[in-house]
Amino acid sequence: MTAPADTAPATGPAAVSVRGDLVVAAVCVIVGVIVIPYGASMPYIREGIPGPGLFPMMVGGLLILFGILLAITRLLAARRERLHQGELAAATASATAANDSGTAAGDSVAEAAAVQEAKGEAGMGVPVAEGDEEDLSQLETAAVMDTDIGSDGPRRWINGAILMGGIVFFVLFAEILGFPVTMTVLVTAIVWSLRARWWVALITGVLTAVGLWAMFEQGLLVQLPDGIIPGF
Amino acid sequence: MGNDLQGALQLIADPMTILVVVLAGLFGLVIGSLPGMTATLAAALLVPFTFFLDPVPAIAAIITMSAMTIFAGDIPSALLRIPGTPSSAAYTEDAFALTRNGKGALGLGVALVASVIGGLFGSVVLIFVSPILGEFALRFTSYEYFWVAVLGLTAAVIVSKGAQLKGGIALMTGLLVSTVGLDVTLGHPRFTFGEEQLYRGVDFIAAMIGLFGLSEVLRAVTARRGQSLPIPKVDGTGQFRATFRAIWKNKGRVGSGSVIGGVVGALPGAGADIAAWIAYAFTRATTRLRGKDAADDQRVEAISGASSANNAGIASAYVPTLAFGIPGDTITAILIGVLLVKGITPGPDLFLYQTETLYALYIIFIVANLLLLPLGFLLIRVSGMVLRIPRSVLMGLIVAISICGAFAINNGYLEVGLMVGFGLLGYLFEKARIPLAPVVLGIVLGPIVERNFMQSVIKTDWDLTQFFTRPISAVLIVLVILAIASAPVMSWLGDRAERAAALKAAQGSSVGSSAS
Repeated sequence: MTAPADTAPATGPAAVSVRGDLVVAAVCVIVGVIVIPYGASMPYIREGIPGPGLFPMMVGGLLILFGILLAITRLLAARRERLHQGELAAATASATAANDSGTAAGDSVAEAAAVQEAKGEAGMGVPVAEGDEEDLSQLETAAVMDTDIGSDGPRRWINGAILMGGIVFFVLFAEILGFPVTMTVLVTAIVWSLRARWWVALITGVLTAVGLWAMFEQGLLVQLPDGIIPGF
Repeated sequence: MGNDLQGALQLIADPMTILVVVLAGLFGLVIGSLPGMTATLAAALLVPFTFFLDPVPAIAAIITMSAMTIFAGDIPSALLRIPGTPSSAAYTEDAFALTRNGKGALGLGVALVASVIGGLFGSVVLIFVSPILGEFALRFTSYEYFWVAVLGLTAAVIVSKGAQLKGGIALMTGLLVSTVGLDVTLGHPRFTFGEEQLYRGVDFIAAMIGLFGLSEVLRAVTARRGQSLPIPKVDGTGQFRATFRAIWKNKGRVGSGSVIGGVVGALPGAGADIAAWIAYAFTRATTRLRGKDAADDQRVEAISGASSANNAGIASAYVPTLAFGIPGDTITAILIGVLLVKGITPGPDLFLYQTETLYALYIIFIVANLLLLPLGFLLIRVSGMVLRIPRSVLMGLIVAISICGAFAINNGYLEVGLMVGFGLLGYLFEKARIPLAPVVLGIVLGPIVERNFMQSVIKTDWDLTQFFTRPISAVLIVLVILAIASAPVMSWLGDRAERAAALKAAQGSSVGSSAS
């Protein structure tokens, strides 16, 4: 069995925690509460003519409304979801029990169809089973894709910090060191932090900086920061 | 008309335009084939470059890029079982199953040819329907524009399936961002916090690059360690005849898919991915192929339907964009942003005064879709290589282009800062599952809604009944109400279907384990 079928219940409609959504709702209400007085501090209606404050106040009001509605619906949905999870567990348990007691596979297919019909769903989605889950190792493989740039533990946040810190570094030092140097440092740091070999990172950094410099400064005539190196 | 057409051809035949179109096409193909990189990301990274081009090449670049990206999204579907763009999600399972059965090149070839035909059909819809709507739009006053913009905004919320409230929150965020700067009536500074540079408002392009470019990088670098995926080998030679034979066999499917895509795509807010889902469901439900041996034929059938639908949808999504100046999805929103920067106002004026540009735009659509055919076959051949581009290098490149793009807007660091701010916002929204597309539509449509509301109110001295009693307004209001009313129903149905699918998967897994 492949992962998607096993993890399907976990990634169902309730993928974001209820608490996360309540935080979103709270932030909406807070922003709305800040925006409305700010809008009111501007002339919003003067001699019957609507002013600059009106629109932000309307947006703020709707933001509060949506925030409250989100909190309410989310709490209600969480309750419904709990009921559904119970149902799902019961269905899985009964199916397993049927298999254990030596029922032929055909019977449980019929049972599955019956349960599905009871749910009243056409079920046009993903064709499950019917031998789709064959062994993947038989597939002739041309190469392996390097999708794996994530990491575990605190390294994730270090990588994020390198990215954001790198951009801050660029903004602070571009005028002093010049675009080519700063951009090389930034790109090299990011690529290197994602577990590329150091020379790959360095080559990427230099080529990116020089390429973009040529494209923007020479091709598109954008004045990029020169810095201390004359001529650039 | 003949003169305009000739002028339009001259605009296109410029070597600069041709070069830009080819480069943008290749760029779209590469970005589209990489899982997780959407057409919107490609557009956001492309916009800083279009900034420096003439209007026609700039539009050409975005249109070509988007047509290519939508097809290229099928590549990782077939090879890795991960849709490259959301539009390919509907038939990912089918495309992957074909690859596993050794028919990967056939599946991709069918997807490509169906995409080209769908795209051409969508272009025809665009060419014939948008002038009619544009003529209708000539009778619009500020009331109607207000309602059309509101319709666009509602549509933005409806697209966020299963999370309309979050879509609403995202929309309000976009509207709030759009109020930064000098206001439309009195020139009063709003939300500028004494910063004079903010008087001109939050730059739309900086926001786009942050929301879709930087936030994606942030998400990728802080992701948990995943698994490396094997890329299956696809034999690309000698598949042309099989592909065209399969297309000919499924010509009815391609036709129905194109029509579905053309109609659904033209609705504001419903984009190519929704068109693909509907066409997929339709093809699957009406299939006449039965039996165990027909599984692969059914898959080819489904792919030819859905794949033609998403490319048809991409083209016809430009109908409301051109006729009313109201974007249908994020890419058209970006295009509107670019057009406004270039001094072209989308909407009925385009049909009256800028017919050369308009015809050039039509021709670009045809050319882009025809160009997709050779470039697409090329991409299928080298797909393994494209997928092997190291992710780490790619992330570095995206950050570098994002910074340069933001900097180049005004030669200043304010836009870079805004870009970073929106990157963080996009990252947080993504974590909280708040859709990003409504934010963009809010930023683009906010000033339109506000200006037309203010104009209408000032014109009639607060006679609000005028908003409701004008006949065209009334029709638009009905549409808005229908759109709003359909949202909770759709969301409820979607949730139910998802639950039933989960239940079915649980059943299926226990059946499968007992069978093996």
